[in-house]
Amino acid sequence: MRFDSYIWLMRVRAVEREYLSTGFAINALLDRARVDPMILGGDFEVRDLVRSAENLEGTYLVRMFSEFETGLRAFWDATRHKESPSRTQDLINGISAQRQISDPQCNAVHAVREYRNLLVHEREEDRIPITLARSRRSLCTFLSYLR
Amino acid sequence: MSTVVQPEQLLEGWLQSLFELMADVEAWASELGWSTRRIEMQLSDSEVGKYQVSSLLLAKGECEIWINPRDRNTSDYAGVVEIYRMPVMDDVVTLLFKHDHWTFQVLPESCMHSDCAVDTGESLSRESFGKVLDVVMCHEV
Repeated sequence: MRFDSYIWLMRVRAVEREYLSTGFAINALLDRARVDPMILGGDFEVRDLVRSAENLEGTYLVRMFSEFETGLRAFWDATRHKESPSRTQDLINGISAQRQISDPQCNAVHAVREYRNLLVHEREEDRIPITLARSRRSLCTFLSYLR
Repeated sequence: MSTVVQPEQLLEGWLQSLFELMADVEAWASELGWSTRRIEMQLSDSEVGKYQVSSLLLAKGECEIWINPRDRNTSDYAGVVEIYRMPVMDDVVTLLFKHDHWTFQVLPESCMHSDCAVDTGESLSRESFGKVLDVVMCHEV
């Protein structure tokens, strides 16, 4: 099956747009709910919204990386005649070698992957967060080598 | 009596406006020394389903930008086209289509440096598009 890297670039980018619009909506609702908590209708409280806002970027980072990884597996399937590695780390390294992607670009993607793992598995490591915008830049740069 | 415009007609109008936009931009970019390449993309929306559009990749030296149709018929505009800096996919500027006219929308985060090439509301023209390309060239990633 033919691989189209532009579709995956757009999918990764679209996740960031959803994050921005959802963040805007949550913050707008928070502003109103702080003045009038009754607008929330009783199913949840202002502090639930605050938690949603705090976790939003991490939530979307997990989703963005998932789109990226699916794109890598589609590339592997389209260009190789064997099953893609189950470990994401091996998948990234294999494609890096195949497309001669430079170490800094590959390491930037691994940094996002490791941060994603930290979020998913709720590890208590002290690590500086990677923003969604920075993640998108690293992931899209890597995907652009697959054009 | 108001006339109901069918979704197919709306799509036809949007595709025609995109066709003209891409032809203009392709010609202007070529005149300014950029190489151009069309890339077919598939878009979809609930009203008309899936449809094919052309996006446009421009390159000069190490610098590359992607002009990519995003949405038809958003709430305020008949359509939106994004211009991205490649390969990082940073927003450079957005083109909005309304009343048969393309204008720029500049997002605050697009102005990574102090000199934004164009202002929000400014019409698309050969000159304004050239200014966008100049700024992209000056701020290669």
